[in-house]
Amino acid sequence: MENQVVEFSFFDEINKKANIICDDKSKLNPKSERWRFTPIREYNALTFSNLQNTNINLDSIQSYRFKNVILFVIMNGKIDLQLSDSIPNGVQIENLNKMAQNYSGRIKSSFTKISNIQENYFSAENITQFNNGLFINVESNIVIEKPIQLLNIQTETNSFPRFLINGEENSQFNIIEQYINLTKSESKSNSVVEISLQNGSNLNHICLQNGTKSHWNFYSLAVNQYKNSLFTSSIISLSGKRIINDINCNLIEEGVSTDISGLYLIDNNSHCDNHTKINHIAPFTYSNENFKGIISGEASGVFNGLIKVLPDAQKINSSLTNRNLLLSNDSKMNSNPQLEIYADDVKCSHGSTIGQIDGEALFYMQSRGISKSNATKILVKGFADEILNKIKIKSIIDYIEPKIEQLMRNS
Amino acid sequence: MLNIKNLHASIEEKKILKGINLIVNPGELHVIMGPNGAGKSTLASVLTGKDKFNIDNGEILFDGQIINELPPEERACKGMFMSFQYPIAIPGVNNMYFLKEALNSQKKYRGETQLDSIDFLGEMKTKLKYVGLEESFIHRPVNDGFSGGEKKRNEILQMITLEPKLSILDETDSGLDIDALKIISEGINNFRNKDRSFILITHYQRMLDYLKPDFVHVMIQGEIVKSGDKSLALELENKGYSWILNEKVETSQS
Ligand SMILES: Nc1ncnc2c1ncn2[C@@H]1O[C@H](COP(=O)(O)OP(=O)(O)OP(=O)(O)O)[C@@H](O)[C@H]1O
Ligand SMILES: [Mg+2]
Repeated sequence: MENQVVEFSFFDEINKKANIICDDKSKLNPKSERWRFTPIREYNALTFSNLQNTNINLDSIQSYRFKNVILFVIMNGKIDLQLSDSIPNGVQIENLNKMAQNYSGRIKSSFTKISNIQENYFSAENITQFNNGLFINVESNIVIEKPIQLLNIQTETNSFPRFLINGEENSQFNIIEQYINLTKSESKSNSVVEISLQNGSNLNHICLQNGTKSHWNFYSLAVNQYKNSLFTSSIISLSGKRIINDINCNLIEEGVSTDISGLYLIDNNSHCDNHTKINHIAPFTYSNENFKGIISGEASGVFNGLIKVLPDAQKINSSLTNRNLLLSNDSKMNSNPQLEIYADDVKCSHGSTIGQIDGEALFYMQSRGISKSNATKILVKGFADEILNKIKIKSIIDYIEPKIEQLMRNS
Repeated sequence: MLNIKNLHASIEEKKILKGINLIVNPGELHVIMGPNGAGKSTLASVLTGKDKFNIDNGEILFDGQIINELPPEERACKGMFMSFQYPIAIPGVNNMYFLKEALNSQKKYRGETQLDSIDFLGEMKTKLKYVGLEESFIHRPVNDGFSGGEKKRNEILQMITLEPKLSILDETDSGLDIDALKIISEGINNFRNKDRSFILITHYQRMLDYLKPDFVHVMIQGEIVKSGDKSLALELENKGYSWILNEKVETSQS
């Protein structure tokens, strides 16, 4: 009984802080720097209040299963154990309320703290709205070979998935986070993923975003990395009306490595916004970030990447690249990689490009007998390959590739 | 094989080719020499169908067919090939994949059976020897990070793989070291037969010692102003181009 009172105040406290942020509508000011190139004004006019629930055939869900995975099905933010595989040894998967009861220390205190609600309105909004949420813990020294597929199915117009993932010391695991939207009307999802990687743990993460033509996707990923941990991530945005990704990695202790890549494929009149921040807090930390975009039709994109190196973070190595391929004259991209460095003995590089298909390369290929359309296909595919090659799982590459071809047809 | 009739071409209103006439028969090797900016590479690009150049007048006949409007890929499929003066690097596209795709596109066009990856790799291994490249080169992105000479060798590798009827080699010799010049020349010589024709664009006589051309033409300011046999190349190497210009002025005055 006493325990429950404690838990109530635990969530209540967190909620209170989040509510204050959500009440501050200046956070969604279309004129603010954060929203300069993203049509948040349009969002502010929407309500997503008609809570419609699309009926789906539960058997069809298995068709989203990738080969050789441990599947967990999350319906509108709530895990459905009936549709899921059994939980492997050395892994705990439970409701976030349960986590608050059963865990203490770093795990519990990192909940809602890894993702910075002061800097990210939607992270705060998720706190005030999420219903169940999922806590995933991989015990120390446990190696899970098969990827854990977190299949998020959205059938309601408004959905707030939330995850807290903890890799204990020297654990090794793979997570495929996938978002499927089956709603038929204008819909929104606001997902927050917090990851904490303890000493020597190694997580390979893939996020696949696949929304409908009328779906607003807000996605916040925040990672705290401790000594010698390794985080590899690929954020793949395949479709959606508006995709807004907020990615934050904190390299807290020595020896940490972070490798994040992104591929966004946008067409028609959709828009994709990637805001990323890599925080080098400790010395001897390494980060590599490479985001690539293919933009066609009247679509537009924003990339805003920041590498921040704090004064103690000497001897770090960091690289940030954003490359964009515009397939049409009406597509637009705004790219802004930035460095903010407060240490003096560091190696940092950043760069960005926005360009169309190289006409000289096209002619070169044609002059060897390859048709213009096929040459274009090969060049676009070649552009994306740098990111796809990091995803070692063939069934996922097979899932992404048709989207690239579709994009070319729609250019 | 190739018949160029009074060809005029321009780029952005700037006239570059001003009435080129040239006939290349099967098995012949023609050399085009001429000062920088004369229009030699432009001629090669126009022949292979680069659309940023405009054909203002004249005709290009290939195997008796007017190809002025034909897209580059169809010209290639009909048997035309250019070794680029400055080969393009294509990061992200694997060299072998590219070449296999090219060969199979051509085979498909001609209604021939296409090669699978294994057969193709086998064929590549022998061909690499002809141009003196290590196998690792076909597994790298096309020309990406290749040295100047390696790019030229890769062009010739493409030529002997695609087996064109007409090969236009634009300054293939520049950038090659002394040994490579010999290796590549031998490669080209082995590739020559009574059906295959060549147009070789060069500034130097040295490759001609190996290749024994049938004709040498001099192009100046978009026109072929003089043609002769291989002794003309030697003469040019000794005397430069100015005497030809003077000769031309004299003939036009008389
Ligand atoms: N895109 C372009 N825009 C304007 N002028 C061009 C363009 N491409 C070529 N030219 C001009 O056309 C002329 C002929 O160029 P071309 O490359 O054919 O010469 P070249 O005979 O091959 O010379 P080199 O021996 O130096 O290779 C040059 O004066 C060049 O500047
Ligand atoms: Mg030239």
